[in-house]
Amino acid sequence: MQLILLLLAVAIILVALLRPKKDKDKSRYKRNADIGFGNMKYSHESSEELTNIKEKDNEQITNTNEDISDQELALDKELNKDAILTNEDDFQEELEILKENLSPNLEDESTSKENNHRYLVSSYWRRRLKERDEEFARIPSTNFKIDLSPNHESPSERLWNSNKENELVLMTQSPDYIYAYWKANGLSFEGEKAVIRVYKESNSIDLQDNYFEIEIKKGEGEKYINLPQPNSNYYGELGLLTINEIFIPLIRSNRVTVPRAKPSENNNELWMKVEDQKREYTFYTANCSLGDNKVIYNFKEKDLDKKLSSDSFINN
Amino acid sequence: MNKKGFLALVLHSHLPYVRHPEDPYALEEEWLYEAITETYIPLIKVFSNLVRDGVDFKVTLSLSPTLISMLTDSLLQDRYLNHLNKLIELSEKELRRTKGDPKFYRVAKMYNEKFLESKRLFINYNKNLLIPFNVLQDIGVLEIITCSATHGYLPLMDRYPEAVKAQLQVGIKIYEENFRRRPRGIWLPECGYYPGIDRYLWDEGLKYFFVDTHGILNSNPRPTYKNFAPIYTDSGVAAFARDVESSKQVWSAQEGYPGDYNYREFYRDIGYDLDYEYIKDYIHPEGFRKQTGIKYYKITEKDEHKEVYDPQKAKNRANIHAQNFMFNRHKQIGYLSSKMDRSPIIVSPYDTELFGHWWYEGPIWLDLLLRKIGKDDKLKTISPSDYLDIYPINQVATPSLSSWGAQGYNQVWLDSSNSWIYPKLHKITEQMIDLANTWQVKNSIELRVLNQLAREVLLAQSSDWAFIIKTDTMKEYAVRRTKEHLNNFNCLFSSLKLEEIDIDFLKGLEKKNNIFKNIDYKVYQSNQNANYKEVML
Repeated sequence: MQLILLLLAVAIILVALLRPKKDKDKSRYKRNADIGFGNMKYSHESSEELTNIKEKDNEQITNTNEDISDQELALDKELNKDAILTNEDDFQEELEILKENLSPNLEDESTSKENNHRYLVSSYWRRRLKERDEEFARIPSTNFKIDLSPNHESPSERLWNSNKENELVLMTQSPDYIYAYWKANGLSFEGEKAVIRVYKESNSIDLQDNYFEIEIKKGEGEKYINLPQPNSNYYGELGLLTINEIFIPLIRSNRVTVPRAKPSENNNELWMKVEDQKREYTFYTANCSLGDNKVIYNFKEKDLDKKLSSDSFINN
Repeated sequence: MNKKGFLALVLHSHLPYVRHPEDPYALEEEWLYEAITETYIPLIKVFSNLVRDGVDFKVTLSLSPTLISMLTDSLLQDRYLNHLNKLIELSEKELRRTKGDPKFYRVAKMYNEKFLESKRLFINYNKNLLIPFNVLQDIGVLEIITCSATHGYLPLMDRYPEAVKAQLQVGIKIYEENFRRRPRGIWLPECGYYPGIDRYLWDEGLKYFFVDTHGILNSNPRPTYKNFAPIYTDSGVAAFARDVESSKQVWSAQEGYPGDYNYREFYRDIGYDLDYEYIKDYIHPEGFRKQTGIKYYKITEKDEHKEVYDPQKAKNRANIHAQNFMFNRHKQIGYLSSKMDRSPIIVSPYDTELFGHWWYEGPIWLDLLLRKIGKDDKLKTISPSDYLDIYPINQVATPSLSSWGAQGYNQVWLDSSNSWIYPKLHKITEQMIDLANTWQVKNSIELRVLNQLAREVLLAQSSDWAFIIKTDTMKEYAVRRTKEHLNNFNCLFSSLKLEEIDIDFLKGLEKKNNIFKNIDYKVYQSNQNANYKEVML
């Protein structure tokens, strides 16, 4: 028995070692995701499986582990079967049919605005909500780092399905602004706020990425976003913010680099020699004292004639 | 201490691809005709005369692939000749009209002589201006560099390395086809740089590019020689920075030379000033007035009062301005040399079309300046690659994202007026990349569709459309062109997917948007693509 366990442990270590190294960002997201949610295929589900389901508020959630109704789980299954729901009318129709199967008391609870509210949530989220309520309650804590790849289809699939359901694209405009455009088909919300959460990447993998939120309104599709700091990398997530400040992401954007707006403080010197398309770092000491003085020697038009009459260069 | 310094004059020549076989009177085609008459031929003359007179000089000239394609297009060459013949006819009519007024007659005579000379030279060059440009490069006085295929603004394309590489590779291919060698440097459209693009430049064998002053001053680490020596990006390509002082003197509307009292006024053209009956054969056949190129007034004051242009007085001013430019460079170099242990390089890039078209006396100024520098012992003109040969060791730093547009970053090409372009451009770019990665070509028609799709993507990406929309001049044309190329792409793309290719539609597009004859759509492949096939460039 001990031998089997030992072999198993060795196998696990080997698998872990042989796993391809992901780039810095991905591994960071992955690790954070692991802390929160284990090895879930989140990206797929969160961007595809959107269902409008009634749910209890956060306080109740933490006490509902034992109260998960079978009907709700059945509802999850039903919804999981469906493809992406894009058309809101179809979606409402679907929901009405499903509602009929729900227990009367859940229906009553969910329609009671005093105790409950509605929000858009993936069925995956719903399961997590019930099974791992403590983790869920920590959202939007810093544990929330998941891989929400905007493109989950293969290139050939994309060719045949060229209208993206959801996308959020960021573009750098200046050190102070980025431009965001988005599409969020099927996004329907009532009591919740739709927001773009803009993350500023931290410079260290040990630090969490800070973020701020921009509220977006129905019908909007673009925005210029004022940034807190130039010379940084940013990315964004578009999603819903519930009354309880729970952020449910729908789609993640690309990453953008925003330039610096002033000279770098870094004075380290590194020199390179390039000849015949061959490059090598080399030792070099520059003797230069240009400093930061800005010297402008241009003579303006009005001074020109005066200057010309007194300087010898006119006869050159 | 070495007191010498270098001046790199860089002229960036570009016009968007405007070619309308369907409309013999397309106004926008005249951008090319005006630039040929007022800028390109006069500059070729300036350089040729300097060579003839044994002047020691070097100028760096970029020719955008769209401009090269138009200059070598037989339809546009023939149309230019017709345009020039009409202009000669008008100038002769003007000689008769102004005979009684010596001041005006002198100017009319100047135009008539210039137009006749342009025609003689144009025919002499076999209607192909690349012939003299090639010769000037072979002699060693010009260093001709490349630009991205359709002047696509690359910092806003950074999400798609495939699209950036396609812009670069197609541009370089056009260069090679026309100049029989690889380009040594590149003019990044609008001086638009983003960290990372240098890797692709290195891969293409390019030695250098240019950035605006703040791109270098804000580089990381801080550059020791500021913007008076190049830096290497960590990929090994050199970045040369624009010099603020010399640029401002030539560009600035307030302080720059082109606003001088005696220089020719651009906006007073006989196309607008003369009686309709007299001028009607030389304006648009539908009756609306346009610039003809014949302008009789000097800038004078800012008000309506204008005096008649005096070519000799204007030339005198150009001489004074050339001296002033020299004087300021001497001062600048004197200061820099006292602080640096190597000869500084002052990089002065300008739009080529400024010289002659906007600033009519620009070619004269350049001629006089180069003659003065040729005799000078402190200042020498140089190309960036010659400077790198002298100083192959340079500091390593990463320039910051920047452009030479207003406010210095991406604001001109991405603002509330033109941002609507980007979601559409991104969509067709992604589709093009996916096609290049996955489409299994079944026949030659499909191959032609794919190549035309690549042309339409490139044409839609021209930075000119976003720029024109932003500046709100000829905006309708830029909007139309953007939509036209997007629409062409979408129609072709659907027909390919549905296997319902309309061969006449395809033929029509191949005839009209005939740029990049030898393009291979696989230039859009991703590097990690499993179906990767070598592109023969």
